[in-house]
Parts: sequence; structure tokens; C-alpha cells
Amino acid sequence: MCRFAVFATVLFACIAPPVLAGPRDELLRVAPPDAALLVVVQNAREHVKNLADSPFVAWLPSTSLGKKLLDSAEFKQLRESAALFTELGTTPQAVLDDIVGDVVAFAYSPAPAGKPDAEQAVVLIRPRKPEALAKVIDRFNELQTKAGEIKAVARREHAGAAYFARQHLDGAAEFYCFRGDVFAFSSSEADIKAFIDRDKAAPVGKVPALVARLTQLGVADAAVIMLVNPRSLDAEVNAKASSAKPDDKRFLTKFAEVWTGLDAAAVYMNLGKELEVGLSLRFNPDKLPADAKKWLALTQKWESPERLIPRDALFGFAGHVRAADLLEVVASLAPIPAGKPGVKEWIAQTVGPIVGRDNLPLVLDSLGPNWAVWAEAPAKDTKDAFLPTLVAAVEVSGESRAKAEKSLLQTVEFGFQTARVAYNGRHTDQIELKETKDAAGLTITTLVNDKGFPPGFRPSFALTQGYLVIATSPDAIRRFTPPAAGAALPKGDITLATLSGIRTREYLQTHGAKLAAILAELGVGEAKAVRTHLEDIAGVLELIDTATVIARPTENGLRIAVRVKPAKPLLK
Amino acid sequence: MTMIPLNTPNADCLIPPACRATVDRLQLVLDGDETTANLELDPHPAVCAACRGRIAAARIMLSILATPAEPRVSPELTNRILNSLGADRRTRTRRRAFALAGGFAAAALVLWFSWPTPLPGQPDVAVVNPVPPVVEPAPEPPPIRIGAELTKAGQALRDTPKAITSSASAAPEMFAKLTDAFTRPATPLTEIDAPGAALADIPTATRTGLEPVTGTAQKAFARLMRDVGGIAGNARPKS
Repeated sequence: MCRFAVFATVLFACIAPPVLAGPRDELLRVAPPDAALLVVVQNAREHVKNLADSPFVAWLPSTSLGKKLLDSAEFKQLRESAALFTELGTTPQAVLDDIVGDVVAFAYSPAPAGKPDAEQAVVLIRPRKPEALAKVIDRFNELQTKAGEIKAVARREHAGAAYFARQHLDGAAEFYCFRGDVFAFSSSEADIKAFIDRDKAAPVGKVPALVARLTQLGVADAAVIMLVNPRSLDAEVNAKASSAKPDDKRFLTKFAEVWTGLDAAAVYMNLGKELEVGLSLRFNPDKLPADAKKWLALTQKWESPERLIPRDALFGFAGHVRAADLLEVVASLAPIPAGKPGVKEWIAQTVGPIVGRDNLPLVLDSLGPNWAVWAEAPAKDTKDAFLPTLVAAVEVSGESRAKAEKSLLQTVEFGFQTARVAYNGRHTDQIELKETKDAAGLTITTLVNDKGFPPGFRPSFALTQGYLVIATSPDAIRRFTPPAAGAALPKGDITLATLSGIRTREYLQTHGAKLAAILAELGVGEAKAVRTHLEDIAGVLELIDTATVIARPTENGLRIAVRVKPAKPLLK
Repeated sequence: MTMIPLNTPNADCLIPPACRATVDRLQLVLDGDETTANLELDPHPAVCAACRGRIAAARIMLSILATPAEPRVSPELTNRILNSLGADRRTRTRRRAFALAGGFAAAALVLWFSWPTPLPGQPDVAVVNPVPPVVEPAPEPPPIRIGAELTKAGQALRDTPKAITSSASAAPEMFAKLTDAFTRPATPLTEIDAPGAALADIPTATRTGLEPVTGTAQKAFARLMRDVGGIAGNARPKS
């Protein structure tokens, strides 16, 4: 097996060509429809081939991670293992092409409480050439019988259908059979009998229920799917909630309520031009608590806040939520320790006096809904600057915006002044608070300490264009450009987080040593260890052009995914 | 069918690359530089009939060398040798040489019959056996334990991505250390501690809430591995 193909198999993923609905549907027709977990791997033949031929896999061995992978003992062992196929009278390519290339599945249900022997599991394969699989199994049985690994292979029958038991010397056994073109294997005889029963009972030519469920979740064509049946886990979720510690009780009770409304869930992986790994949820709105509907995007319109993050940022996070709503949901989930203030009371006690207790609800209601936090590379025009510039921007909106802005400015300035006084009291070098106003009327307040602060580090804040912006450099505030008011919002995916692999790696390579030193001073760890960690991260980033976390509202559901655009194309 | 001794120049170019390491190790054992125990550590013969044959042949030869006292030779030869013996070292050396030759002959025979493919163009050369020993029939190479090999392959498949995942895990580790360093209060603030701790409990509670799913996934993986282990002959599940 060529090493590119091994890479492709190890990285295993899938490419966009449409899935062969025939084999998949044939297999899922006889899969247990109520299994707690069902893992499906489909169209592997195409995916591995596409990956093996891709510029990414050709380039991977030249990367630091690729070299590490190639040099690993495990990879060498894996390549040597290809010789096993000769003993089985086949080749890795033939196994991929003729046996596992279409669709393979594994269904599992845990044993119910008190019935440890009732665990269910079955492996299903729908080979392109069933005779190829049968031949390999025969050879496998022959070799194992000869080597004394199994005692015998016995033919048995259930409901008039034949199946086989591979009997071990100690009395244990595994069972397998073919029904039509679908092969089933399990260490439980009951699961093989159930497979035969399903095959006899399931209608032919009708879309299987499992396929319908995958389609509703929007993952039916994904290369790898793990379908979760929430109803199989209801008892366990409720038991967790009822036996929770006091600190977890509120959260787990709410979690159990939302779980009841969860109709289906799937973790999936797909790879077209990009790799996407995600979670797809589908709810029954009638069974969901009202507040959960809002948060799960079933009743509110989502807007995209990612445009706040500049395109040249290293990484960033964005959201679309008002502070008041966020506080509400956090307060509903967080525990309330006896005799201590809850989250809302705590905010009222600590922030209230600064903004004015009467003003607090108004400020919280005006803060948002758009916000973002991001990191930029150090300004090149500042000598010796090595820290990334961190920026946070939050929209101030609503009818009482002017009043809220004034209160917010006072609050942030209070924070800056407190930090300045605290620092100056403990250091000989001193921080000054400076205010600058440019020709356009933008006023920026900055903490300045050229002796004590790292080069380029000048914490600043300002209110600009309807946003409160706080940054570690006043220049970042000047550069800040919010989306034009009234501009049409992009439809489809909503970006919640973004990472530029190329820029972040470049930053770490250029400033990693200095960054490690300052992080060590801050107590993150020993400088050498921190440096090693940063180098490891840079090694991973070499493979990534960009990575984004996206959310996508679907009918009665939600999809959240990490989408990775690799440094080299995954398709030729 | 012909055979090529291990140490001929021709053999070098005919030995497949996959067998090279095994053949080299075998040569070291034959030279006395390594013990036969080292042969057990080599996984390659389990999947290579040719190397199993080579090793079987070597074992026969080495066992002969280990008990060299009774080379069965003709009475005439024995008399001649005994007459010239004189209990000197040269004779002992010669006896060992005979045994060695016999061993090589035995090894050659085993190799002959175990060589997987005939070597084209190689003349049929009779192996000269100056002192033909009575050789026990070569034991059949042990049958390949395909299940055990499959287990090794599965383990390698599971472990291979570690080269990447170990590096990738540096990012969350660093993030956790950063947040820990930045969120650790310089002085205890009792009023802030309570809600702060309450907020910090939310991720823990989330993990607890998801345990039925993550726990089931772990059990499913364990069952899959157990079933595969069952195929391989390890950890066989009871039916």
C-alpha cells in the first residue's frame, strides 16, 4: 500500500461525490432502528482515493507533523501490517474497493440498569462484492482454525436462515451471517438473530426510518456519522438530574428538560474542499421549554456578527446576544450557593454602584446584541512589539443608547483608573491615563507606561460608531470598522469563531520565544515548556489555512460545526 | 527448484526488502553475535513464509551445533578420524566444522522446500553434504496467528494518529493554563468568589449532563474493540 494511501486511510475522511444511496439504504434497512448509537462510515472508497490523490496528502510528508507521523513506530507497524492481507489472499486496495468501500456501520445499545448481559452490538457491512468478503472470511477461519485460535466454525439456523458461529476453545463465540448483500457480525448470538428477524420483517423498496432520520438532520450523505437516539438515554439523563449534587442540580434539571425535547442528534464528519466536523440537533418544539426554544434558534432570527472581526485577525470569537438575555440564561443555569448572592445579585452589587443601580437594567439591555473579541498581529510600526493586539467590541443599541453609553464610559474609565492606582501603588514606574481626540472627534482613553509595559502594549478604550471598543492598542480602535448600519446580513451559516492558521503560525514563529517568556512570567508554566507547547501549536497550524466555528439554523433544529480549510487542497 | 544461501551476493539482490532485517538478524544469530531469543522479537516471520523457512532451517542447524557429539558418519571415516584424533584441539575444531557443514546442509534443505518462489535462471545444484547427518524432518512452520497480527495492526491504526493528536492537544492545554493564570485572583474576594465559582461550575455540570452520551460512546468503542479482540482470539466474549 503506498504511503499516500495509508495517509489517506489514517486521515480518513470523505469527499463530496454523492453517496451511493443504494448500499447505504440496504444496510440501514436491517440496522437496529432504536440503537442508542449508530456509527455509519460510507463511500470510503471514493474518499480515500480522492485524499490519496490530493495535493494535501502529497504535501503532508514534507510538514513537521507529517515527518513526525512518518517516523512514528506505529505508522511503520501499520505499513508492515499490509502483509497480513497477503495471508488473507487479498490486498488493502481490494478490501477497500470490494468490501468496506461502500458502507459499514456499527450499532450499539448499552445494557439497561440491572441487566448487564442485555448490551446489544452488531457490525454491518454492505460490500460491493459479497463474494470477496465471503472469501476473506473463509480464509480467516481457515488460518485461525489451523493456528488454534478458534476451535471450529459451526453452521446454525434461525427462522430458516443460516448463520455461523466461530467457536473458541474456551466456549466463547462470535456469530455472522449474510442476508442478501448485507453482512452482520456480533459476539452476541441474539443480535445476529435479531438481524435475521429485521431482514425478514423490514419492507423492501421503502426509505428506511434511519435514512429518514439522517436526512432530517441533514447528515445523510456525510462520510462518517454517529447518530444518537436520545430516547435510549432518557433514563440515564433523568437519573443524572435527580441524583445531581446541589451545585449541578439547576443546570442538570434544565438539561434534562431540553433533552426531553431532543428528537435526534448526530455527530458527523464530512470533507469536500474543506473538512467539516459538526453536531446536528433536531428538536420537537412541543416538548421544549419556552426559554430553550429561544436559545436553540427555534423562534428567533439569527444574525451574523462575524463581520466585526477584521479579515487579517489571527483569531476571534463573535456572538449575537444582548447582555441582559445572556445574564438571564446564565442565572437560570448557575447554582445559587446557600447564603451567597446569585449571579444577578452579584452583578447588581458589584457593577450597580458604578453605573448607578437605577441605570443597570438600562445598560444591560443596551449592551449588544453584536459583539466580538479578536487578536491581531502586533503593529509592525511599533519597534520590538511582540504581543498580539487584543480587541473587544460590543454594540451599544436601543432607545436609551445615549444614556447607556455615558454609563458604560464611566464604568470602563473606573476600571482603568482602579487598575492604574493599584499598579502605581506597587511599582516605581508609573502609569498615566491619557486622553486623545482626533480630527474626526474620536476620543480614546489610554493607559501609558513606556517603562513598565511591553513594547506596543497600551490598553485603551473608546466609544465609536455605536460600539464600545476596548483594545491593547489605541491604533486597533482607530482601525475598527463596524458593519454599515442597515447592511443586509449574510444568509446561511453564522460564524461564531475564526482562526487564521497561516497568520497565527507566522506570529508564533516570529514572536514565540518572547511570548513564551512573558507567559512564563504570568504563571502559565516554565518558559521552555511553554515554548515547546507553542511550537507544537505552530506545527498543527502549518496544516490549516483557516478554521471557523459555524452555526446553522435548520428546520426545528440547529447545526454547529468546525470547518477547516487546509493549507493545501483536499481535492486534486 | 533451487535455493540461494543467505550470504551469497546473489541473495542480496533477491531477498525482498521486507525480509532484509530478518535475514540480517538471522545472520547475526548464525554468527553467534545474537541469541535465538532475538528472533522471537521479530514480527515479520509471522507474515512471511520464506523467513519462517529460513528461521526453521537456522534453528535446525543451531540445534545440531549445540549437540555436536554424535555426527553419524561412516565407520571408516570414524576410524580415520579417531586414529588421528590425539585429543587435540584441531580435531575438535574439525568435528565442529563437520557439524556446521551438516547444519548448513539441513538448513539448505529446509530452505529449498520453504522458498516461496523458484528463482529463475538458477542452475539446479546438488547440495554437497560431506557428512550427511540424520536430520529429523523439518518442523512445519507454525501457522500464522492472523488474529494476533490483526490485533497488532489495529493497535497500530489506533496509535498512529497520536503523532498528530499529541501536538494538537497542546492548544487546549495552553488555553487552560492561560485561563487559569488570568482568572486566578490575586487575593481572595469572598463576595465575588461565590458567583464566580457558580459560573465555573457550569462547564462541569455540562460535562456531567453529557455523560450518558459520552459514556455510551465509550462503552460502544470498548464493545467494538472487544469484538475485534474476539476475532483476534483475545478477550473473547462469552456468547
